[in-house]
Amino acid sequence: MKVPSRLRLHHRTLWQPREPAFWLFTTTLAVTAALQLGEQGILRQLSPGGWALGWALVAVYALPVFGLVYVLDLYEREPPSLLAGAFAWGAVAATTLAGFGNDGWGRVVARLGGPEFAARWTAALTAPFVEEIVKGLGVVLIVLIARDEVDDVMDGFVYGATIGLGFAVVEDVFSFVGVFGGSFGGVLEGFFLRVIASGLYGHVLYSGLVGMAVGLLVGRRRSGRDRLTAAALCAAAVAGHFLWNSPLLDLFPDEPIDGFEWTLVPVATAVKGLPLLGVVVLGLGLARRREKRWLEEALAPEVGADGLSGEEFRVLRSPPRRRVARRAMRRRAGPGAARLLGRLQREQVNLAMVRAKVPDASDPAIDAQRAYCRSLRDALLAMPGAAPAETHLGGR
Amino acid sequence: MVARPRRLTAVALVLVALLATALGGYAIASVLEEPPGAAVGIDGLRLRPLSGWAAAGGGEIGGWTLLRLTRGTGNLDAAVRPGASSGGVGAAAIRYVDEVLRRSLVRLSVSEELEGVSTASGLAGVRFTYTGVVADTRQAIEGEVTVVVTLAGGAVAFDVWTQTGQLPFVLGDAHAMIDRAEAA
Repeated sequence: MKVPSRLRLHHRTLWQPREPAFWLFTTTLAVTAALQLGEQGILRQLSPGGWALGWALVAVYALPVFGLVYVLDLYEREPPSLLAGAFAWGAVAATTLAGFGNDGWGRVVARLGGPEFAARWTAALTAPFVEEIVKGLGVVLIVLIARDEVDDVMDGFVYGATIGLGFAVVEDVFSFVGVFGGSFGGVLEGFFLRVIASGLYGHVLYSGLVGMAVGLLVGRRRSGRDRLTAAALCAAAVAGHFLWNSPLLDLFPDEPIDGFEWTLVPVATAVKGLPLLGVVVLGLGLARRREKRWLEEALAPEVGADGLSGEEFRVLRSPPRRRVARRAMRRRAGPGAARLLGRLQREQVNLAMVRAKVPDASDPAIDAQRAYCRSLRDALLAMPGAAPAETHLGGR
Repeated sequence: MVARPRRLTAVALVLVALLATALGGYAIASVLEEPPGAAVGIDGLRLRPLSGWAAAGGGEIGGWTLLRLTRGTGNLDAAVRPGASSGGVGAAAIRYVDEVLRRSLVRLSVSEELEGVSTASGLAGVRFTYTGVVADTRQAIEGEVTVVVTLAGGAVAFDVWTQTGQLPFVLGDAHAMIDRAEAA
């Protein structure tokens, strides 16, 4: 059975040449990429082996972190091209612009406070503001490029955290060579201090919080308190970053770190980073509850209509049940059927999105999405083995 | 769907915010800039630190007497070596590399070409850049050295250096101070 193409309600890709934001995004990336390549060239010249080892080590860190961020959005995974754009913004545009911003505002700190104060406080008084702004503006540009893809707090977190991850990996490689010297031992020491001992607390969290704020402000469910909450999320990100960069609560052992002192490093990083990690975990828990509640409210009127059966609704509400259903389908009818079931589940989530975006329930877009879901279900049921006696499909 | 003029306005606001964040500090710092302070000097060389810069000690390495100015995130070492001008300014530059940079840095890489420069105060000399790693702290740095010879037959090296990646950001201040430097 032929499955019709999906409803074009989502942009789905970064390539949106009709959007002015797309051109600002790509032009900024292109200009800053030239500068970033120059900087990477200097680092490579200083220590070719250390530079390569640094990139290999941050890849080991970045891939699982990205995977974790990606799967946090249980109901609607974000399009790969937009996530790639977010990562590039953090790695290329944000790091380069922050270099200028930190230096310019660092001059202000030096002019006002003098060299001694500047040496102690510049990192705390510039980077938290400059870096969170340039990374946060990346999330704003993604919203302006593909407005429909940022539906709620969790989407904002995913884009913000991805931008933060891109920023962190470039900053880490810079640090391995520029601060730790680029030797084999120096890179490993830098990897321990910056990634193993501190990796849970950095840019991924800060930008994730800023992204949540953006998601809250542009999301599908807005309330009067959202502006206040968004401001609090941004303030938490900046405050966490400020504390991390400042000399306050600094329990790090003095260089060179020897013997037992290495065990103090994770304690020192936890003192500065754990409170913010707690805020983010709490925020993500609330965001997930909010998303689940929204999905249930949006889809409840659809139960029994063409697009969604009662059993499908029961499965759809719980991401673990969705995975169990796909695994069961794979055992019964093979991987193709499991993939088609996954597609049906995604489109049923999209049915909720469509309902949230159109002005009334009689909108033709809803009918079209219902029909699309039904066609997917029909195609699935036509596959041998896909419809046993006790099925979660077609039970209406 | 948001109307196109609104989308253009939103993009313009993002652009303004990006520019203000990345470049606004320079504008405010230039407004806050005060006239250069009292001159500091060594061995006949006089420098006037810009606001935000201060003398941070000195010393002697390889026969060169050093005075360090710092802005916290960037440094300007002024180094003087009496009688080092024999062989011309190029030879003095090579002496600075051999006697100062090679002694304090590992993995030193120096630019191949010497650029001719002249300062506003009338000193003529050459300029080159380098990268390296500070031997004792393992910090990777990049720097730019301006070497001039004095009428008294000495050589002066102005070595601007920062952590890797930060050099372009301090060159403006450093060149302004080198331009106003006076050497006997």
